[in-house]
Amino acid sequence: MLFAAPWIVGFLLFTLGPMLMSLYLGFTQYSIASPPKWVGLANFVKALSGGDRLFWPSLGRTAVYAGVMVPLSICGSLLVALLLNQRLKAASLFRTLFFLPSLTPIVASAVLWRWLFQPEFGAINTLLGYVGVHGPRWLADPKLAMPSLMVMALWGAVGGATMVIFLAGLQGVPVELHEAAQIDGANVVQRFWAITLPMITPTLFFNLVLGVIAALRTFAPALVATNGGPDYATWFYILHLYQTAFQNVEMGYGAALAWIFFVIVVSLTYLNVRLSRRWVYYEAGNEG
Amino acid sequence: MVTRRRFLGGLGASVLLAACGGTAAAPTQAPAPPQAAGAAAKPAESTKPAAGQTAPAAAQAATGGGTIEVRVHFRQGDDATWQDKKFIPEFNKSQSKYVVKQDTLPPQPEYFPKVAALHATGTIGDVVWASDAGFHSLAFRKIIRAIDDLAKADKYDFSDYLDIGIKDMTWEGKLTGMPWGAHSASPLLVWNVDVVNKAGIKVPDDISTYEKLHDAATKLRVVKDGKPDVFGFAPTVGAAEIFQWMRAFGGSPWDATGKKVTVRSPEAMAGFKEWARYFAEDLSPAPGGGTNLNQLFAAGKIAMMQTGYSVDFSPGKAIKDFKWDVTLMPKGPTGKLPTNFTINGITIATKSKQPEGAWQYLKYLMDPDNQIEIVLSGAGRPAPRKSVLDNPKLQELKGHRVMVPIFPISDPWLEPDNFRIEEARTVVDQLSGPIGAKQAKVEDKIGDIEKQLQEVLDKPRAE
Amino acid sequence: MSARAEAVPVGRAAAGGLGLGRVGLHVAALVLAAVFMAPFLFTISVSLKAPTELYALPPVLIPAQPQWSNYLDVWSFRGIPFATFYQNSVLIAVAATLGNLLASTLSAYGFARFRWRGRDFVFMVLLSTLVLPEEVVIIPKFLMFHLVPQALLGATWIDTWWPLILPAWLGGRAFDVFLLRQFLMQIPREMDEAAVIDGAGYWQILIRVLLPLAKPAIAAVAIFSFLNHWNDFIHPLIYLSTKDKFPLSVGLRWFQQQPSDPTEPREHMLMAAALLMALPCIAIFFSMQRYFVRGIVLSGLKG
Repeated sequence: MLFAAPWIVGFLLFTLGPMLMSLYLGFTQYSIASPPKWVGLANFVKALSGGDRLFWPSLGRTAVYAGVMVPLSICGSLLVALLLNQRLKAASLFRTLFFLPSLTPIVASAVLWRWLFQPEFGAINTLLGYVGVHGPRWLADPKLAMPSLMVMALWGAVGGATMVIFLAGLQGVPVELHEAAQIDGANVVQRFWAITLPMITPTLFFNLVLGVIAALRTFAPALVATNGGPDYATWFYILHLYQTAFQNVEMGYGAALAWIFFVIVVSLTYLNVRLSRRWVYYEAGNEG
Repeated sequence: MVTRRRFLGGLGASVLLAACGGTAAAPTQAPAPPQAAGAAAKPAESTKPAAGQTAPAAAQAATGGGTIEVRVHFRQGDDATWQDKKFIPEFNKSQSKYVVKQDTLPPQPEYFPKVAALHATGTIGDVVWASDAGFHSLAFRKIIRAIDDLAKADKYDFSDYLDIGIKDMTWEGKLTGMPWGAHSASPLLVWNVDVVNKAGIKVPDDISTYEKLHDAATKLRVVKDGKPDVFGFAPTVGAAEIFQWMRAFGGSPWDATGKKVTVRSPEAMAGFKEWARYFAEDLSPAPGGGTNLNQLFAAGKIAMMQTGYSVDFSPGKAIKDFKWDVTLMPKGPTGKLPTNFTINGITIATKSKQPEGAWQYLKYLMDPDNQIEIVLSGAGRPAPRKSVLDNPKLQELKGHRVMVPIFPISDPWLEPDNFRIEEARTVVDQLSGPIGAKQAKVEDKIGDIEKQLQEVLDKPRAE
Repeated sequence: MSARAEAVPVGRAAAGGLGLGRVGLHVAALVLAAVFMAPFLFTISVSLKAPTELYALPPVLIPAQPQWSNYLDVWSFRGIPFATFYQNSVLIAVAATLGNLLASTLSAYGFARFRWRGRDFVFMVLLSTLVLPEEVVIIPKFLMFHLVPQALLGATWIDTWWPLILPAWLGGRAFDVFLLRQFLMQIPREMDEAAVIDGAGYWQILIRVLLPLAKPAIAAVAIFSFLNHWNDFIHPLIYLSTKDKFPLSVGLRWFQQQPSDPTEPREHMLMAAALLMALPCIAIFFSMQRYFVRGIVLSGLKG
């Protein structure tokens, strides 16, 4: 149809075309200054066979990060949204306050959190010192660098777009249902499990899908706050892709890494959609 | 309706695009005339969508005397902004032939790939900033050109220049760039005078050997409530500095061919271990993790610190009434200082259409008066030429005064044969993390470092 | 989506019972907000420091003399063209947002109101692009924006704003099309039919009937789209190379000390610049949030 044409043209030009080109580059060796050289499957073999020693570890680290961050950020956002959904005084002010961290430019928040985490004299360890705890080295410690990054990311994520979308979902839960349940003697917790949660499963699903993708794509905090270290502890997949393409100038291999990532993300999303049929509750509607 | 034909048409277009990938870099092989013409017309055209909103083009025309455009690529930094503010307007006013314009590119690691992309797409300008970290690779790929002929035609006098600077900018026997800014990496030892005096040590103390440095650091350390309150000595952190310590002790991360890793040699190990000792013994704050050594030093939490050319400005000028002094680091057992002679070069693109104009601007940037001005502003480093280095005003800068005499005896710029210095540094940066965090010893990590560094060295040169 | 949506009250949920409970909720909200705000307040504090306070230990929490002048100095700090960055950001974000609105509204209309062969398939493709990692296409897009205009127009589009704005005018983000389509679908078709009887064409239906009803969803798309373009970092980084064309997201890096800069600390300027950059987003969010929370709820996010 004519009206959908802009999107279709845009898709062909700016998505499908570049994707095919990137697929082509994935089969080449390409360092920009001279033309790509066809190398067949070599790039994909190198990645999957362990020829690139950072491929599997970076993928594993990304999986761990997503495995922790997705539940935490979704639960956190939902809790904040539940809180803000109560008829608070100055509700719009509260909403803005919680949204503020997600508006802080990453460059600034990285500097900020590096100060807060500084081992000897940073604010967090200074506070811990007051209660007699000898604070750890946070971002400098290979074991704690990833959890520290998670704290930093949660700060920016919990009150952000995910929360706003939950808030929207919560406002779609009919009040009458709650009132009826209350009359039946259900308490707050029971009502949450029996009414609120089932009613917002579509929103939950939406946030879950996008949350998984966002977590897998995490990159900027690691680049600006830890540069992937120490000891590759925060060397995430997309950081690996970025370093491959821009520091090592291996664009062909970078394109192969991008396509492997694409396949992973699409498969996970497909899985998500399949599983969702078991738990997402849709009202009957004229779904097209 | 999307008809089938339209859909197929779209597919055809994207296949075409995919095919373009193969021809993307074709212009590199032979700068074909039509391509060149297109590129020449480009600068004016390309500003069109932005025209009306951004006024730089108009402003440029108003200030400049010339008409022939010379485009300059620098990586983002204070020296690039300084050019926009001072050098470019002044150069444009000083003559009536050329008008210089700057494209500031992002900092590393994106800078050099972006230069390569501009070259491949034929949109590169004329003057290209190239630090040692990318200079040889650009020269190898013929993205930048030799400038001997331009200098010779102009009868340019090089007698004022230090040999080490000219040598650094030479590729395959030909001068390929001008040594715009130079330094010897981190051979300086800076002292927080108040903190050191408080410990009953005078400044500068005799620290002619690493043993004496270690003794002083131990004496200067203050422990409060079981926690270090003042650290004795902080080595500069990062792979580049670990390499310097190895070299000061007579070793090197790889051999002279740049192809074989030698981190396990007794000399290299001795340097590496000496560096690591300060972290293992809590004499220095752990590297990374948000620690800003300048900050801790200025706040009196570090008594002595290894540092480089920037010392005159940070922390030197950052803190009012801050008392500090600076000496050289101790010499290693073989009499060498921890150095790595480093140049920020300015070069001319092979595809430049205005090499003569580019050369004129290079000369202007190398001018001693301009050099002194930018160094004093804190935005740049001095060119390795005597009239600049010996300038009385620059000699008033303490760090400058101490570092400059060792320029000629500094170790030359260190990089592997395949130029992959950033990759090599990344390996050591990452793997040395646990050593700094006291979770591993040098011996635990050296096997991995050796293996992974060798993998980097075994890669081919990027073409 | 069911027609129930129209009856949805805004800002309504189970009332929390006793007054004591409600006080507790407010306390909880306040405490949580304080925790969230602490790092942000620290940002503000840093932005008001004198350079000599940046390195003080223990850290100065409240600057002895708040340097409000930092917010003036930031516009001319070390010759960084902050005002130009700001202006560029506004122009790019507004132009791209307008395009995005137009294109996604039209596309959503096409998907929601017309049956055409392959529609459902194309819609599935649209949904699948929601999960497309941008990283896959960045390198080829760079080449494409050079080669195609070079071939057709004789000039490259690298280092222009076209690659940042044009894609928004052609279809925009799948997320926005999806959101608007969901919204349009739940406006009863009877309203269109009534208009047809009055002699309205497809365009008139869209403009006179649907758009006025779709205002909340359009507001939501406008705000999300604006925030997205305003904060976009990777695209300007890849496509632009002239500093005078940079938006704030990239320009902010000038306030970050590069290892190569042997000069004084400048974190106070970085924080002031960052807060100035966030300001329009904060203002827009604060003033329009009610609108767009409503926009999302009405479009009922369903797969």
